[in-house]
Amino acid sequence: MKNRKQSKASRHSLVLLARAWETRWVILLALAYLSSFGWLFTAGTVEDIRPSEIFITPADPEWKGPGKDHWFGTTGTGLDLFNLCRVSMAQTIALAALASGLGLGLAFLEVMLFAFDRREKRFSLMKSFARIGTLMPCALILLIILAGSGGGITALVATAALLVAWHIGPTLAIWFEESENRPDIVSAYILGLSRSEIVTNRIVPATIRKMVGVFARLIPQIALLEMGLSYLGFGSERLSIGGLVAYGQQVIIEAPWLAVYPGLFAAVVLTVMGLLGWLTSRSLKTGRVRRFL
Amino acid sequence: MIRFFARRLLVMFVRLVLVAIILVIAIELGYGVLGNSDVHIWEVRFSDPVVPLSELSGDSTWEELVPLMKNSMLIVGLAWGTTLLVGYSWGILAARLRQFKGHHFLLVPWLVLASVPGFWWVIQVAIYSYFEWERPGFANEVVVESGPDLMQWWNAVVVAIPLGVLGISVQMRNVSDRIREEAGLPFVRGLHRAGYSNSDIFYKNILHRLTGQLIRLSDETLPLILGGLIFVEVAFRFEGMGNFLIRSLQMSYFPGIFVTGIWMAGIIGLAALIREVIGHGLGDD
Repeated sequence: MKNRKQSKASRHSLVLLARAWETRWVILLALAYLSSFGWLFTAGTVEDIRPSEIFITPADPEWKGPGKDHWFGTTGTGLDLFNLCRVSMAQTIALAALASGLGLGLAFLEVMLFAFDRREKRFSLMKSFARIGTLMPCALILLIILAGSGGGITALVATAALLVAWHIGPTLAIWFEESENRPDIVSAYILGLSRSEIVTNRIVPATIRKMVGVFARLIPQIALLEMGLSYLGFGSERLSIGGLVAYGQQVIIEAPWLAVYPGLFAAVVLTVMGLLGWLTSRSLKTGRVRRFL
Repeated sequence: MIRFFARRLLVMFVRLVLVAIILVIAIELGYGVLGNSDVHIWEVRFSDPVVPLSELSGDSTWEELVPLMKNSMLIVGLAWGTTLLVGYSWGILAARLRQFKGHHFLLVPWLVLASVPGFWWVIQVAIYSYFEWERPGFANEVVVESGPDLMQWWNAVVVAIPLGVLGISVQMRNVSDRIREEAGLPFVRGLHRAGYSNSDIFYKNILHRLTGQLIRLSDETLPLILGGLIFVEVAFRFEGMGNFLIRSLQMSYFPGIFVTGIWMAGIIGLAALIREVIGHGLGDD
């Protein structure tokens, strides 16, 4: 008679398959999110050109209006605007991903500093400090001051990350507190498991899962902010949709497409990312996260 | 009530002082350390001429800041008022229709509109107004010298729309999510079993229980609106506090940056104080 006991490998693959089926929506949404990243990052080869070489209007400009060859038209130096938009957007998204990743990492570290404390109100200091942040207009002024006064791109990413940590930290703390009331955690305490075991093996994985949803939601918000800063001229020496719109505004009579299409492109990309981020966060049951940017 | 008000007022002042300290540190760090500026924040005097104002309103005394504050307050009032009105009603509607498939589509249009960069949107309006309607485009293109200043209202509405859309998108999601969380609690299932109608459960139980918590959400969008104001005012060339802040930043005029930051924090603090007093009056602490 055939041995009906499953091998270790087949049991593991069945468990993996079951888990994948449970999280199928999250996987699909994450794939769609990453595909949009991939599409942006496979843009042409204009990324080495500095904005100062693009944002000039020669005496005899080579610009062409939108057409079959150039969907969004061309710039004064003859560069394809659609390709420029993709490159600019890719840079903006990369910055946004970096800032939100760093910020969430910092927020997690901040929470972990207090998480092993046995007192009931272990996160109260953190929450009180975050409340001051609600008085700063989306804490944006700090970002504008530090990025606009001479800090450049490093200051922009670092400040955005700090702001994310400052505002998201209390949300993570609330997730920790809510997790501690879960029946399995209470049972674990009754069974005599140590606090460090419970936090590390039970609470942290659930929190990290939810953080993916916050990450997906933060990227379009930070990207929108970065575009605004570039529009104001605080985006340092690199391509950005905000910079393209500001340049287009200067030549609005001669080449109106330069002011119209970059913003339209950004709106479409951010809409797609915003919707995917929202759906991802709903699928992961992230819950309400206060928007501060 | 008076004791509660005094306590909250004190808390607000303490927070404002902390905001002032953070602003001073940020200015010194930004300009002194990162920007290698020779001037430090402790060297500036508020009695010196307000240079960024002379470009905006022709005069360089602090009194000229009052019209700019009024202009910006008009925008904030329009955007925040619309946010509260539409955000609450739309959010409650989306939560009321939660049992129907596709009720999320109520939220999607606002989410899509909120993804449009506000600074780009106002530029498009200016271009359209100038070329298609042959009317003034940007906010600084015409000055009304006699009669009612209707252009001021038009300019304020153009600037307020993208801010309002952003506020509505956030507010309605907050309201809808909060109600849906409450609707998922076991007592709702119990009421269903006991034979209560859907509308009775929703309006007389869920909404009634949530009144205080929903009021707490009322000022959450204000920081976003004030932050957005900075970009949109500059893009539409609107003479307001956002424009003043950016001019001050470009000219490294520290008192201008500081005053704008405190002005914004003061508005948010005041709105929070009013919300807390209303909440306290309704018995929600």
